[in-house]
Amino acid sequence: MKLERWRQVERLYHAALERAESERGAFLDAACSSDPALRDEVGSLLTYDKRAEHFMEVAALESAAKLLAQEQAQSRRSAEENSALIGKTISHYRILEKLGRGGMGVVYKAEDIRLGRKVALKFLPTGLAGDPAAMARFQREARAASALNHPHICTVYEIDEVEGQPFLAMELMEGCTLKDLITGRPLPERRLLDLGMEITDALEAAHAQGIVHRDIKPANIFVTKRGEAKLLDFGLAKLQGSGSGVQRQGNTPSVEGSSRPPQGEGAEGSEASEGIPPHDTASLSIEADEISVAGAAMGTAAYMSPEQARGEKLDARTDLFSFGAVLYEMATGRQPFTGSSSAMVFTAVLTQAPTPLAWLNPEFSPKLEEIINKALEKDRDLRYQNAADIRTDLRRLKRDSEPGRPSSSSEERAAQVSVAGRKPSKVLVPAALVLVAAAIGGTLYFRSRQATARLTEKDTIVLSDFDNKTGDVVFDDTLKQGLSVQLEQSPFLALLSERKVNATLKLMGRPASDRLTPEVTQEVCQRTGSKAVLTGSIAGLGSQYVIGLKAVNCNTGDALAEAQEQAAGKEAVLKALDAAAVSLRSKLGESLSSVQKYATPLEEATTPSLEALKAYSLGRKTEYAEGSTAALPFYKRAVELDPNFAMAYARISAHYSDLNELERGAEYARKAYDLRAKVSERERFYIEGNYELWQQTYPRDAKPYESLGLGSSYVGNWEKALEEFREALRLEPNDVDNYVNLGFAYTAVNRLDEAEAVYKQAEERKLGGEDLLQGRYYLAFLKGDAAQMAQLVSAAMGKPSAEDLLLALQADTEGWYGKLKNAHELTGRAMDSARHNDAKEAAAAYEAAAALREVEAGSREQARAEAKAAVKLAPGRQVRAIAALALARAGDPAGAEKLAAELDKTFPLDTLVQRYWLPSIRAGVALERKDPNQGIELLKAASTIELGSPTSLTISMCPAYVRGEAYLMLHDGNRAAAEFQKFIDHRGLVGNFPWGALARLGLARAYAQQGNTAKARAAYQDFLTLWKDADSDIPILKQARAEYARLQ
Amino acid sequence: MARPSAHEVTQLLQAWGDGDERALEKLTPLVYGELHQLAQRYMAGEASGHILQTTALVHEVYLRLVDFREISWQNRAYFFGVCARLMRQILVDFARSRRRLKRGGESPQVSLDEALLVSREAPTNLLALDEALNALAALEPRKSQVVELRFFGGLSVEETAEVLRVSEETVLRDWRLAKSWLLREMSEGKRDEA
Repeated sequence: MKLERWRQVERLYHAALERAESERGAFLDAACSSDPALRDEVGSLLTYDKRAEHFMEVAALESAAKLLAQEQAQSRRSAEENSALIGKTISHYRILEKLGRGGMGVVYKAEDIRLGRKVALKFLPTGLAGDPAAMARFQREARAASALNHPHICTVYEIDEVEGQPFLAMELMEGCTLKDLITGRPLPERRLLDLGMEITDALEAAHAQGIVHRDIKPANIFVTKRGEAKLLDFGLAKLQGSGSGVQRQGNTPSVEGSSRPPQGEGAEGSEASEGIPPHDTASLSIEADEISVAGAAMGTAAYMSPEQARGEKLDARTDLFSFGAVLYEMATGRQPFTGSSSAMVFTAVLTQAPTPLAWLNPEFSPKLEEIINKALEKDRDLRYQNAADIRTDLRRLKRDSEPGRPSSSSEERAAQVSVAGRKPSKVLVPAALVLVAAAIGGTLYFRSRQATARLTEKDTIVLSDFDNKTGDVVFDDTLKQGLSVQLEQSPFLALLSERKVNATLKLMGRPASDRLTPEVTQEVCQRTGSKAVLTGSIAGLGSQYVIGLKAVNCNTGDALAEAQEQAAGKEAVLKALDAAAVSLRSKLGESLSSVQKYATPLEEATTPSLEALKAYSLGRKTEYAEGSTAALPFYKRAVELDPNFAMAYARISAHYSDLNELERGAEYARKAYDLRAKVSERERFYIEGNYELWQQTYPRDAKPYESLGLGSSYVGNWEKALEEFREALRLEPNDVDNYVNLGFAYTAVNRLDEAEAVYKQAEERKLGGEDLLQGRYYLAFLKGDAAQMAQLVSAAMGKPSAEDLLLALQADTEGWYGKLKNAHELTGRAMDSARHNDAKEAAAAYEAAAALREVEAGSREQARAEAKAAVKLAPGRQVRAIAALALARAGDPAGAEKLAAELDKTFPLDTLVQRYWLPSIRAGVALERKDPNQGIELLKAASTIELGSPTSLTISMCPAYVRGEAYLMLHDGNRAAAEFQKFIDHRGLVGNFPWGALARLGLARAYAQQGNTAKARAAYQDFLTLWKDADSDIPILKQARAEYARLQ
Repeated sequence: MARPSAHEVTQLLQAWGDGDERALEKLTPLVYGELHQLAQRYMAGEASGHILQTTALVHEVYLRLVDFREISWQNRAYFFGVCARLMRQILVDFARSRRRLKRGGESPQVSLDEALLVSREAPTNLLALDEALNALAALEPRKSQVVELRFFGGLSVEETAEVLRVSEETVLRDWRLAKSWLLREMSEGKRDEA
């Protein structure tokens, strides 16, 4: 092929790969329309692309080593097999045919010529015969198990040896092993339950006699043609164990760090009191090629209990763990603990939670998962304590899944236990075989052992940026975001918040958006007193990706845990990241049940679209660095790419709410709410507003405290609000919102100095100046500091998130002093500024508030026009509520009632609408219709929450104001005075909204009605002083002056 | 034969790289020694199928064999190239010798021990690959080099890119196409090896 032609092939090949598999054919057809040979060539190569995925995955050196290992294993086997020839008679058995091969040797069908029955003969490795003590022990155990005469234990008739070749004769069964039955596919639930009950039945009987199997695995469970389970090879595991112990001591020169004493072995000899000298195995000689003994035992690593993997003394509960692993495999077709080497398998057994059953096979009942998890508890004290309990649970499950079906009779059969004489002793297993693997996997294994003090619940970890070695930018930021979503689900782990990271970077003299290399992250970790740095990496390998996670103690540099996963392609990367994160979580010390409970897969918790996650991640990053306005386009892009991306909707909603775009905020919140099944637990709490449960589940999160504090402030429970905000601030001192909220709450309860101190604290931390402007402005107003107020307003100019708000505040202040023209103009500017930022609802709210201001001053017509315009501009909840109140007061009761009815219908469950706004509006209408008594009656509903802060603006105490007016109409001066007095008492809450000034007039009128001329006069003076520079043509001012004059 | 020192091995490698075929005779037993040790590790259950571990493994062997301090940074790329070529030659020879050993005897299709099966991949047929790789080199030498460096030399993508002075992206693309091409060549071409 010419080079030019080859280049063409290459180009097309890669271009095709960039397309979805289903589109490649059409693409090639189009690209090679005039050159069918070229199309064939590229097409044929493409058919190999998938097949080549794992091709050359293993390096040549390793491949060759495997070849060698295979060869040596084969030559050993053929030697064995040649020694046992078909047709020969061995002892009194005539060998008929070969049945197969087990982990321990070849199995033949044979005839017992003395008894004339067919048996299975299993030949064991020859070397074992050299150790009479081990053989004797094996014989005892195998016989004891057989003597149980249990229907689900394979009976061993005889154990003997001929010419140094040990063998055992056992029950001949037809069928296959469970291993052959499973072959990667789950069994039907009923089959699983039946087999499971039979096996637990057998285990219970054996354990009752002190016989522990120690090697429960699918290959050791035979399933007969009639579907009955039979446990094989009791006692053999121990024999294997002693064999490999020798192998380890004598024949692994390449292994370093194998100095671990075979403690299990030594202790076992003395404690089991079976008359075997402690170092019996040392005398056992085994030929070099018996290395496979160890090898065979290794194969079962996947089913070993943690205590077995650690080489500890064993009791019956080890079998229950292994049985749990078998159940898991029956249910999923997969082993619960896997790894690419036995050392990795051991690590998994010791530290990892298996993939939750529900992910792999959602068909099974969750109850089965519970049973399996309980059997797989790493701490044997937390595990099932006996086989009978598992069987009972399996039976119950079966009964529940098939009501009316009679229970299995295996229960009754269990009682046929008749072996006596042997003291039921706890059987201890050396598990020296494990040491071989442990030593080989040395570093890994011992590292994870040393790290038992991994993390505690008090430790915080810091995420560094992903090391993206793929060159594919889609992974930048995306994987870190995904990882943090996955890790944040854990109630056990605490990630250092993005805010804290940024604050620390600032202290380090770095920009907030600085790349978090492992070195930078380490410093952040140390400075913040965190425990560990978590680094992730992704590398491309052909079409594959490898994702690695590593947690390192940032003070000592010790590796705490590592996890690695491979992804078969880009689409599988998130899944692999999930798996790695889940594995890391349990390695870091999180409990199995917690990991399983809080492990929504990323694809569900966020999005299956890498591109959408990428947009979302960029949005988060931008939001932290530049605020939510800059982040909005990213979130919008994310929901464009994945219209089911719940958290992206939630972020957009939060953004609009921040901008007082409450209606749009609610719209996106609803979308997020509808999709809330697709988020992680924590995010679900956020979306559902389930703050109490959130606090309980993630007690270190500030967010639920903040939200509960806000909720309390809406309904005027300021003490509770203060408490929640203080806690939120303690937990998250880098979030400026927590200062703003706490400062506002202090202000609302007139604790101005404390509010001041809170703002100072925020400033000392160099947190968001703009966000503090509003709170600062209130304080300056309440302290009468006009210069600072002006300064704050000018500081807000040109800042999109603050300008409109401060202009609106300034409008209210002008209104407070009766300068309504100025106020009107400022409201106009505030609205322009808001509209400029596409914050229509905020603009409408300013206009509605202006209407309320005007109406009380007496410009009823203007107020009506403004209220209607506001509703037209953006008919949000808050806008409609304020406008309706303005209309009610402005002589348009019909308009007010119409809006009230809409609100009632739209927000039937909204506390503020139902108990604050509707009573206020309808009471206003009643006053307009000259029915103050009804107004007062209506306002009773608001009495407990009327000190709340119901809007994003300063408007507050509406029910008190309307009630005060009602009492004035009734000439009940005492009660009216009490209402208006509230505005003086709660001046912090009232702030600068002009009603606070007008309340002084109300108070003056109330005193006048009481006949308390002196007090009335003082109050009138008070009001007139406030309004001394007011616009002269305001109707209410003229009235006030006239009333005051009459008092003289 | 006394095991040559790391210094000597480095010299031998350089000599072989310069065309001295006699150096190969001295280097082969060293690699064989490593191979047998690795095989023993497999037999004992340390079955590996993990690509990153593999890379580490091969590097580990290099580190045991060679005194890296003697190799200047500039020569590192060249040296990796030589090592990969050496590995290829020795390992393919090894596979060839195995085939001779098997000839005449039965060719048992026995599955490996469970422990060995932990690894997902069957050993690659080195002889067929070697031939296919020669064919690929005739088509485009660089792709064959990528395979030689990565598969035989155990180099990472990054190192391969460094040796060949191309981008990692290019290495990955070459690798992907080469794999498909080679597998096709091996599957549809001659099939004589087990």
